[in-house]
Amino acid sequence: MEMRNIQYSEFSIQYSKRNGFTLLEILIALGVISLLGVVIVQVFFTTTRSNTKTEIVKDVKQQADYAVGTMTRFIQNSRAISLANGSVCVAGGSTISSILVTAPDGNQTTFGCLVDSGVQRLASVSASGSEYLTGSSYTLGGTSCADTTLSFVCSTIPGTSTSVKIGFSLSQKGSPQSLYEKASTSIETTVSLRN
Amino acid sequence: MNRTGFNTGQTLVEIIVVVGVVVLLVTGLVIGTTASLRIGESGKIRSQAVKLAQQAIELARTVRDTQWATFASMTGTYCLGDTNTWTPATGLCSVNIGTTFTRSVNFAFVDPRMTVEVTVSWQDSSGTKQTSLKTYFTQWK
Repeated sequence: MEMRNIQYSEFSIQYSKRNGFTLLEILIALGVISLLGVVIVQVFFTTTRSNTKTEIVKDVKQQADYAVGTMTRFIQNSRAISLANGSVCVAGGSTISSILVTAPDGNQTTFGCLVDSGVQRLASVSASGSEYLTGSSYTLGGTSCADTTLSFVCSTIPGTSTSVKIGFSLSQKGSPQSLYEKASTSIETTVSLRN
Repeated sequence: MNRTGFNTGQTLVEIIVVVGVVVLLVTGLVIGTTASLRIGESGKIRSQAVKLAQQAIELARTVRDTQWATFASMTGTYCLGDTNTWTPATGLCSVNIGTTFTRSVNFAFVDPRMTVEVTVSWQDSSGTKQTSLKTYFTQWK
C-alpha cells in the first residue's frame, strides 16, 4: 500500500509541471464563456420581453373585441338609440362620446367612458349599476373622459334605419418607454338596429 | 497519461458540436419569439379587419333598409373607404382605410336575393392577407 502511494506521487511529480492551463488558454476560455453568456442572457431577456409584448397585444385585442361585441349585441337588439344628453339621432349623424340604448324590455343602458383610478375605461351604466367593458390596465386615451378616443356617430333615416358607428382606440395605461410594453389597437365598426 | 485525463482537452469536433448545439438552441428561441410576436400582431390586425368588414355589411344593410330599389340596382364592386361612401371601383381599390386596409364590396343581384361580399385586405411582412365576409340580403319589407 505504502509502496503504491509513493509510486503514484512520483508519477505525479514527474508530470505535474505539464498539467493545467496556460494563461492564454484561460483567457480564451473566459472570453468564449463570457461571449456565450452575454448572448444567452440577451436571448433570455428578449424572449421574456417579447412574451410580455405578445401578452399585452393579445390582451388589448381581446378587450377591444369584447367591448365591441357587447355594444354591438346591445345596439343591434335595442328598441331605440339616443344620445346620452337626451337628444335623438339625426339624419346626417351626430358624434358624441356616450350613447343611450333602450333595450326591448324598456331598460336603459348608457355606453361611455368612466374614469377609474386615473384610467379612462369603457363602461356600461344602467339602473342596476355600472360594469366596465375594458380592463383596468388599458385606457381609451386622453387625460380625462372628455377627450378620449371613444366616439359614437348615431345617424338615422326617419322611418327606415338607424345605425351607430363605434370607434375607439385602446392602449396600455401609463406611458412606458420600452417598445415591449406598448400595445394599442384602433377599432371601428358600424351597427344598424334590427328593429 | 491519456487514460488519467491529464492534458486531454476537447477535440475540435466536440467544440464544433457544442457551439452548433448552442447556436441551434439560440436560433430556435429567437425564431420562436419572433413568430409569437408576429402572430400576436397579425391577430390584432385581423381582428380590426373583421370589424371593418362587419361595418361594410351593416352599411349595406342600411342601404337595403333605406330603399330597396337603390340597393337592388347596385352591382359590381365598390370601394368603401374611411368616409363610408360607396364608390364604384375602377379596377382594384387602393388602400382606403387609414394606411393599412383596403376594403372592397362586391354586389351580385339574382332575384330575389342580393349577395354581398366584403373583402378587407392588408399587407404584412409575409405578404398580402385578407379576410372576407359574405351575406345575402332580401327585400323583407
